Amino acid sequence: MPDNNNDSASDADGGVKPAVLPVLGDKPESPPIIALLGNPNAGKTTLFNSLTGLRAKTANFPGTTVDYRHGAITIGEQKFSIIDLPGAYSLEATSPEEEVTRDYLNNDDADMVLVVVDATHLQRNLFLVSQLLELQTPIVVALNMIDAATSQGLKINVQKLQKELGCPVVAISAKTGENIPQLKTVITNQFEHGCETAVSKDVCGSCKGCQFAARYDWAESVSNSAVDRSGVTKDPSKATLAIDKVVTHPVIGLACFAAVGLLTFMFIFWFASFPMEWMDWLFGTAGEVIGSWLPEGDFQGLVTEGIIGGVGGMLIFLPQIMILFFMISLLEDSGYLARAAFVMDRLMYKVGLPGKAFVPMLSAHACAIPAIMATKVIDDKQDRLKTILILPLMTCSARLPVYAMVVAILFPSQPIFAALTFAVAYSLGIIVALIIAFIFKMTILPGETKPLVIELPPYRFPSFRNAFLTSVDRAKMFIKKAGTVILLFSIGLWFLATYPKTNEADLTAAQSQQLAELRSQGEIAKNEATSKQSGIESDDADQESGEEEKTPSELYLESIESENSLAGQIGKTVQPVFAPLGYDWKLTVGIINSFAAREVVVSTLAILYGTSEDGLTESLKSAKNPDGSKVFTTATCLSVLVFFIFAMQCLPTSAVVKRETGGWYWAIFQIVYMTVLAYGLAFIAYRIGLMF
Amino acid sequence: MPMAIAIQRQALSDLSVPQQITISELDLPEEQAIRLKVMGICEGRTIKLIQVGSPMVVEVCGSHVGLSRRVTDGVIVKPR
Repeated sequence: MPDNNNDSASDADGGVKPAVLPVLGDKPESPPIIALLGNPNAGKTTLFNSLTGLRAKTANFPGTTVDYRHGAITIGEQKFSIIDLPGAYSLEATSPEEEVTRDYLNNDDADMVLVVVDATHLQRNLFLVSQLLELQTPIVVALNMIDAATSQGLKINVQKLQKELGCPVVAISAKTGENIPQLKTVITNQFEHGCETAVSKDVCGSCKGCQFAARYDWAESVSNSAVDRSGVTKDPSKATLAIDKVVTHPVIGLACFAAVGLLTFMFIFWFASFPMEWMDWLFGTAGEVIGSWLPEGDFQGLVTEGIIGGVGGMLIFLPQIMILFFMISLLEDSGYLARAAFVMDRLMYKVGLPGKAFVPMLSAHACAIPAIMATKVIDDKQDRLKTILILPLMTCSARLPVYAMVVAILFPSQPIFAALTFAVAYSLGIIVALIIAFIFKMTILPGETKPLVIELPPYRFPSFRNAFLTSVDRAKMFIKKAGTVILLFSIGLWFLATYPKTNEADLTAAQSQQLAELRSQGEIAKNEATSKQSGIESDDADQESGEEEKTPSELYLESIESENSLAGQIGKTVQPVFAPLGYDWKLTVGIINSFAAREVVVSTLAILYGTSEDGLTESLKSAKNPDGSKVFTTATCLSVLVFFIFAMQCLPTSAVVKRETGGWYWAIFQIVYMTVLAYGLAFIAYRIGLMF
Repeated sequence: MPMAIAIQRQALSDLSVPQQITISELDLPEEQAIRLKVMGICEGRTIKLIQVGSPMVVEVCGSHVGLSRRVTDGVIVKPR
């Protein structure tokens, strides 16, 4: 919230605001606050971006999960703070966003309201204006999309509109920048010459019956008197209608949505893979370089594995987050998103989810984090929560290395079965998510979803600038809000996996003997290689890569260190719990280590089995229980696969859930229910697997 | 007679042809009714039915609004 607190707004007793700029709270030097408000689709975000650009920041209304953007602008000498309030059709709060907007305005926190009005839908937009005119705050109306109105043949008499409303009106185009300087002048003039509260329009005071109808009647009469429609040659809604016939058709519409959704998903998936690879490389290299600067020891391990590893593991999600929000912003701007919600609503309603939940659900197949952040499109609090709770059941990209590992053991040379396994894994995630949503609807989150009431805005060419700024904004928010938690947990997990340390003196006689054997074998191999190379021209590349690879004795020592660490000890202690799923203690440690990030299980198993990640499949296939039986039987593989499909092993996701639900309660509930679900279904899978 | 009542209380979702209609009543829980009123779908106002079925599309105040059946069941229209 801005610096002025509620105490400063004590003129809520109905007193009229002073003619000159009010002194704000306990910080007299803080700039006046302009609240930007408008209907959804009126171009509010475009105007905000055009006024503030990259200088905008995102914050959170205290005590809520609603975000707002704010930025500083300077017009002439005067500095202003501009706040982008969530879009609203009215000051009647029917969503958490509208509630925040209403409270903010009722608190008199703003010194001026800049209301963005869509010139092509004046009547609808004037409804909100009618409510704002009754507030004690001065208003400036930005009549946006005037270019679109003109090209439609609409002639708007701005002077007349100004007179009707009793407050300044500036016709602008936020997209092209038309008349933005004039708008700025009007804003400063308002402050310099004293803000006058608009002439109070008693739109509704005397009317009987429905105040809404009265307001709309007023909006209609104002719009009719200010807009000359005689020049309208063709109905712009005709093209929209023609497209809508197809994209909102019960069957064709679904196919269209499936196509758009799949394309979006593939785009995120494919396009993000490049920056993700670069980042992976970058953090790997940074770890190595910084590690080489630091003296060997625990501090080096903490920095390279705990901090750089942890931060890298979090930042790797950024490309997907940014691309997803870029795409969502484009789809939303174009008007398609509303249509997609429209066609999906009937299907989703049956399981207790709103139509709008489909975008997050689709996105969750790339990564649950941006998906959870995208649930903001859902108006109803409970519907939003339900969606957040099931999203991590979708197969995200971090599960793929685990699936790949299991599939490589199960079907090493049967690509068709391998592909089928992947398809089943994806489908299971979706089906179970829908079932769980239904169960939540019947139990802890009862009640119907909010029925669909959605404006289908005209199709427009989307703004790439808006999309870019939105994605940057979301990325910043993720780093800021999830970063600290993730960093702390990664350091904690590093600690568990590292301590207590194992000295060679602590090894058992058998372990020492094996280590000595591996070392002597290594020596022999090394000597052979050197003698071979002495006669031949040395090959630098080969030698280098040879140096990087860990020797069998080093890998063996690492596996013992890992076994003796706290994580290893916990794994051994907890193993009986996972025994019914067919897991040995190493797999149990893998499960524990992958609590923060599921893909970690692959590297953990590689360490525990004393092998490199490339050789992991072979090692796992030949892994034996103490009684000589194979660990990775078909039953165990199925059980591991099912466990990873359903388990919530992603700390960054939990951090985001905490943020979006406003506390740890639901984040912890989610971890618990998903773990229980994963355990139960993995047990069933194991039992079924044993039958074959 | 129940039959007569049924005819009198024709809901938006009962209509099967795109047409212009006037709303006589919103028989919905308050929160849902407010959501509709805010969009301009309130007693006494005239709206245009664009696409029938579920969800339905209506034109109100120059813009198109999609409404699910659960809502249109409660929008009672004036008999013509």
